[in-house]
Amino acid sequence: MSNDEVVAACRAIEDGEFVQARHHLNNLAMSGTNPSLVEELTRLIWQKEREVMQTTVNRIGMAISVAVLGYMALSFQSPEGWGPLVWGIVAFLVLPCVVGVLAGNSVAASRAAPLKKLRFRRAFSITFSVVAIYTLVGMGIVRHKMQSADKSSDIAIYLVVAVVYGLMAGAVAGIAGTSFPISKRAS
Amino acid sequence: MNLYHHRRPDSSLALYIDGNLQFDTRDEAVYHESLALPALCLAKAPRTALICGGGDGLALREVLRFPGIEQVTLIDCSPEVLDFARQELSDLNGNSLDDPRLTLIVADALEAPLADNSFDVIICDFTFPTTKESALGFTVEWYSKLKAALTEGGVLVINTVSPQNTASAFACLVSTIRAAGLNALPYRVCIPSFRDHGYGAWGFILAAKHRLTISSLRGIECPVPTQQADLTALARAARFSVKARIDFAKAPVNRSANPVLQSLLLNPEARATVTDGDAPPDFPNLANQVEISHPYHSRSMIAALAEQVVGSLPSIDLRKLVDELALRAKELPKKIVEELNNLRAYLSRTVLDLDVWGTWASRLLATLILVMVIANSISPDPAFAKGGEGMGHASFSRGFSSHAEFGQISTPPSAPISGRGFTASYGHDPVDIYGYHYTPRFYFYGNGGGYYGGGGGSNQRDVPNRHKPKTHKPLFVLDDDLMAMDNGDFVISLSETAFLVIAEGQVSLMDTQGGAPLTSVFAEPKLFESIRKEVTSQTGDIDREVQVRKDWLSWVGWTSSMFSSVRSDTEEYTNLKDLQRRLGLAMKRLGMSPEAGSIEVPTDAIELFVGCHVLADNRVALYTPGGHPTYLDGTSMISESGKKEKLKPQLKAAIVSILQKMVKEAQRDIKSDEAEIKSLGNELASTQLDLNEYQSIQQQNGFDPSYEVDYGTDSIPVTQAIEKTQQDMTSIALDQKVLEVGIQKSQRELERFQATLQAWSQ
Repeated sequence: MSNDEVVAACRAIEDGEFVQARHHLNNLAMSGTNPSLVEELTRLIWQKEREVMQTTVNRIGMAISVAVLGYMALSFQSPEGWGPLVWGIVAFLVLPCVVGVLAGNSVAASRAAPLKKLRFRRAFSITFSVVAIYTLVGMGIVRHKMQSADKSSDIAIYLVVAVVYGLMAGAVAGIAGTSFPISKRAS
Repeated sequence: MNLYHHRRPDSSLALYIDGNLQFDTRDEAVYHESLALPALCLAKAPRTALICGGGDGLALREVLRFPGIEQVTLIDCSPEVLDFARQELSDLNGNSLDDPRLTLIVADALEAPLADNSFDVIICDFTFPTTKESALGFTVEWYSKLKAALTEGGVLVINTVSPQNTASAFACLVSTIRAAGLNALPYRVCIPSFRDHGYGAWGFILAAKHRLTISSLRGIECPVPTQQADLTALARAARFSVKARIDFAKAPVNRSANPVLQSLLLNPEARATVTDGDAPPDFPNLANQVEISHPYHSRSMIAALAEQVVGSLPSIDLRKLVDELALRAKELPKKIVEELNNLRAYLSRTVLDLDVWGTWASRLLATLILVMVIANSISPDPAFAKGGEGMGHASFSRGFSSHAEFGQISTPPSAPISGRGFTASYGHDPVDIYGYHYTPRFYFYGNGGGYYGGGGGSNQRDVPNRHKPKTHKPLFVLDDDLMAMDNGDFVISLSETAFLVIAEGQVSLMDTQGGAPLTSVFAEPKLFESIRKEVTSQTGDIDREVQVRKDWLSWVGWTSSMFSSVRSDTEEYTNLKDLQRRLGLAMKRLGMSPEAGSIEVPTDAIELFVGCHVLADNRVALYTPGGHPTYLDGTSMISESGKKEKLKPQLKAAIVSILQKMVKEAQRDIKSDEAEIKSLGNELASTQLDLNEYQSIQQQNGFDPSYEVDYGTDSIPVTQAIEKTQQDMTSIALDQKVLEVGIQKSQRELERFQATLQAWSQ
């Protein structure tokens, strides 16, 4: 019983299933296993959790950095300046894919079932935010240069365009984030 | 039960049960002598004894060697311990387990039936309570049962916990024994091996139906020698501080229904109050309120968990959480409920107010944005519709008429397009670079410059078929009177009825009555250069505007079906592109002047328009291509060679209309300049007053150069202020002089134009 629990706890820790690992640990403690072993395993859980957290933070940071730098570089020219085709490919395919893979893989594999959903959501949310901001800033700068024109619907235009562009890039990032795992586990 | 023993090379041995040290053979006598002998000594002629637990036979050893003991009952639930004692500890316990006076019962002592008044001495040597089950051996119910089994002079002694490390638990046990109706006399003993394991001084409690006092320990005389324990020091060992004794009295009773002992053992720290008045909640103390409920848990684990909880607190609606917990208060310990109430009161008074405001502010902002979006969609702001109407005064022609240099033509400052002329108005009304649209005007003439093939001063009005007169309208106003037409010609408006058409290197004077030119005019190269410069300048502005709109539409072009403003931007972009193209074509169509140089004009002549001057004798010199003058005197035209022709009425009407316009402009300029001179005069007078004041101040301060006075918005030394004021006065006087010269010039022009008009009207 104790040995099985120890093995199960170790496997759960290795797999990043920390809730499960704690459950096994509790069983071990209740069964009167050597306290030092329980404490050692507890420390291991904390350590692994910290590692997973660090990896998550690193990858999210990297994803945001790549997104910000990428779209900043892209904003040196208007879409027209890049050529619509090149701009479209970079803005809605290349950058979202890179950001999506990084952000999607920041999700620790703690639960198998919602993993894809979680990866999609994280890749989507980061890319959506950055693209929406990029779009709003880009449009705002261009719009500021032209003082004529009917600006009565500008807020609605900004919202619609930013949301649509964000959704497009976010969807691509989400798909990339769920489809291209860097490794099986983030830990 | 987990049994473990550690045997050392010197044959000494330490026994552990469930990880807790039971004894070390090197000092076990301290423990067992201190446990058994005081009870045996205090009991009245003990003959029978009961040992609960103590399967190692060591306490039994002490009982058996006490004189007078006839019968001992030992109840232990662990066959493993008994076997171990027989096999490994027989030397140490002196084969006590095989003594014929012993009745050994392998059972749970708590379940064993005990006859009333049957034991003179009862020794409870249970292991340290690590579980709720093992803690049952320390309840008031159990001690009541032992009390019943105890004879009237009998003494009970129990192995307890450390009064040093777990004072509250020790106090609880004292309190529990007293609750069972026994008199308790606690004492503690220092056992080196226990101390080495961090257990602290170890506690025992003597109990009896009769009164037990410290003084009864003081005179204790043990009939058997002790190996390690010093029974003479027992009285001192039973002395506790006042605070400890108060704690004994106040401590909770450990009952089967409310087993508090284990909680007190696992949570020995005194738990502080979480909140104190308006001070922020003390989260470490809050964490201390969490009970350790398992021996393998530690305070550091709780603290680590609490750190995570504290880390996630910002994302929790604390007020709601506390309210929810308070609703379930009945299920919580009383102390936690008190702390929750404190926390709830604190939160309602202080910190969460900001959060509530933040939540409401974000809701308000979101609502505001939605309302603005909807309102803007329903009723777009009409204030964006800028622009004006009307054709301005003929400043471009005036430039040619007033100044000898074409380079002095004013170029409009580069400014962004701000009107709506390039959307709905473009193509219908003339528009300028700012997007303003003007009242539509129409010019009727033959296409381009080819309709007058003559030149050399001929006034040919024969029109080839391909240049049949048509109505043309201005497309773009470059300056107030210089326009790019829809067919690519440039037109300079000279008066209400006369205008110049400039195209393909030629300049023609036209009137609004006929479709053919009145005459061709000397094509001054500088005129072409000036037009080219003007167009290039404004085309640059248009290029920039086209680029910006292109960028904008590249972002939002696909939303044109949703937003009328985007459709409007698209239309404006298309029109600007069209204008760009048309101006490019017009520039090509403008061509170059065929003339090599400038014409020779008398010095006292005043320019009426390009190639046309009013002479001092009231004649008008009209220079034709090649630079040959034709003199008009109101009735006839005299060529350079002296050939005289009758002045055509249309040409005369055109010249007269231009003269009349010039008169009006000169009068207006004079009036404007006079008003300006008057204003400058006032300013000069005001400045003179300032100067007088500065000079007065300077005099009053004894010509101190450092004394400062207000000069505009600055504060500067008075000498500097005087100097600057004098410079201002000189500047104003100079401006006045320039204006006076301008007035004189306008006056001279006015007189000349009026005299010419008068002469021509006769």
